[in-house]
Amino acid sequence: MVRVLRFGIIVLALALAAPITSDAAKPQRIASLNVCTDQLVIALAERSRIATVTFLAPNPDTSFYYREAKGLPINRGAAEEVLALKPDLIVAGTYTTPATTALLKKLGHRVELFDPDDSLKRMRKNIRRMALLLGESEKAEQLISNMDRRLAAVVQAGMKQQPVAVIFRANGFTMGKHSLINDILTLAGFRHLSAEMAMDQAGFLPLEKMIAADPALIIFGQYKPNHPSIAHQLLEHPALKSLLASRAGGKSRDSIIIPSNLWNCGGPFIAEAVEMLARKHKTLSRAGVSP
Amino acid sequence: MTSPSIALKDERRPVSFAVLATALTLCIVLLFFISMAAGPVSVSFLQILASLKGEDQALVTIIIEQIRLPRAILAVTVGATLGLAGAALQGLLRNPLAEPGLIGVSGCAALGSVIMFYTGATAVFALALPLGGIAGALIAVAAIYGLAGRESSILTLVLAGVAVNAFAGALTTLALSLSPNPYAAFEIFFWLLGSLADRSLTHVYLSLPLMAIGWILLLTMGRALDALTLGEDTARSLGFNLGRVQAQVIIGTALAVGAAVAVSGVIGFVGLVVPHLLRPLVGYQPGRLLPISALGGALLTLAADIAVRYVMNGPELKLGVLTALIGAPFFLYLVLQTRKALR
Repeated sequence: MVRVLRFGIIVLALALAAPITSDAAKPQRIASLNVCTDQLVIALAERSRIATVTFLAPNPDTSFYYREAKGLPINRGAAEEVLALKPDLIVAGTYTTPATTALLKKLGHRVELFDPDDSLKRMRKNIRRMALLLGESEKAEQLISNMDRRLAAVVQAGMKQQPVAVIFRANGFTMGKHSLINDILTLAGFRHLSAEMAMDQAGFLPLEKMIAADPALIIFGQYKPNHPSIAHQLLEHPALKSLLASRAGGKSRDSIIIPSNLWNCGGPFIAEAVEMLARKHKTLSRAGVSP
Repeated sequence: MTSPSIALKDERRPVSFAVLATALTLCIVLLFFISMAAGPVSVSFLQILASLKGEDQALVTIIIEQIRLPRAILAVTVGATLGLAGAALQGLLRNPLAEPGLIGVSGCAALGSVIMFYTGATAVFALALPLGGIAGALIAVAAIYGLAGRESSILTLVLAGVAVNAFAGALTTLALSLSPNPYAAFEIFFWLLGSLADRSLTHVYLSLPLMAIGWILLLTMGRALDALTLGEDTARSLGFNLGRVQAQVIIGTALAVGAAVAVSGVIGFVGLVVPHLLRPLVGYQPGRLLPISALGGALLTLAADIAVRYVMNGPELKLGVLTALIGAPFFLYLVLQTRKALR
């Protein structure tokens, strides 16, 4: 009985002490093995606590916080690179580095895996979970409420029409119904072509099919023509230019470039993509695009 | 010594040249229209005719004129190039296994184009793409000629081709791997297996004039190649300057194959299969085989390029996969035949 009581007291004491000690328990050597966990770690934790981020983190093509990532030790997802840094928390994607994360777990490291942000809902969940792991929940809530304020402003601006938009990347790669990009397009007031074509997560949209579907807005990613590829050459196909210039059906068509670092990963920065799209929505509506 | 002499023993009567040429041309015209109708978006023949006549039909016209038309044109021109170059090389080298793909000419043309394209040279100067292909092809033909020589055995030529192909393939892979564009490395499939998917009229304009010069150089070699079947000495005594003949075939092949590969990647075996199937029909005369092979190559490539659109969903099967599936067993058959003949 005394032992049970003593145990109870200890548990109680620990529980009471928890909020006070949590700061010291915050992971101090965080290793991130995925470009999307990189974003959340950089957004939430102080720089001094980040042991390593991926090589994609300092690259503006893939990473929103590329400036902040400059100078941080980088990894290419190999276990050796991470082990040498003696991390106390390893965060990674579910699918991107399975062999490495399995090995690190086996060696007794604390590894937390994150599912890809395939919806706004999952994105919020991932932000909050990361915040909890890093002991930065307060900061996360602040970032989320800032983002929500921006998103609400866009939705409030009111959108009667719902023109069809399509995201068209190198090789005709596009995102489907279960994707963060789909949710963002919906939020900005667009119908999403590939989702309506019953594409699930992502896939390839043949150029012909895209032209026949006649979207009002084609969304391209940023592309550097000084490093050409056949995959990107498709985005310069004369047929696309003809489609955008066509006035068939009394309709005007337009295109926009959304830098892929604004929405490839989830994070508070997606608000910027939503705002860019909402502005485009406004000009399309003014030009009298039929839905 | 090699197969043309065996071939001459065949007593089958050749089909009339005019009938054969007309039949092949009609088949090409038919397949050309089928090619225009084939694709993920269904388009009727009436729409095709209306588009080609210039009656505006808005978006369908864009698909027909800017995606399918260049594709069908390139299938014909690239296919004709490969058939013609195969027949010409077989005639010049008097070797039944000479083929632009097998002896490494196409592989080196791909290397030349890859270097021009991925370094960004073509973005500055568009013609750099076919010119790179032609330079690569020229180096390959010259290397093969140097390695195997014109009096070489069938085996030496094929082995020299293996070496040139391996080297060109390795350098192409290296060049693609060094590109900072992450997609480049995957494009090894395009360059080594060829495709006509999503090509545009720009590719037609870039390649067609250079290919046409190559065709003229090769097609005018008919009588010289006929004479060569009788041996070099006889050809010389008939008044042919062998040095000029060699130079013209080599330059013609390099121009046509280099420009073709620059826009289509390496499409193998067309130059092997087509001349062999058609040779008996022209009475084993290399001169007559040249134009007939060009037509046959166009026909085979058109047919294969229609078929690849229906094999799978998503990104298409590469054209070279299909031509290799037909061509590789055929190559083996030819090797066995040649061995039998040499025995």
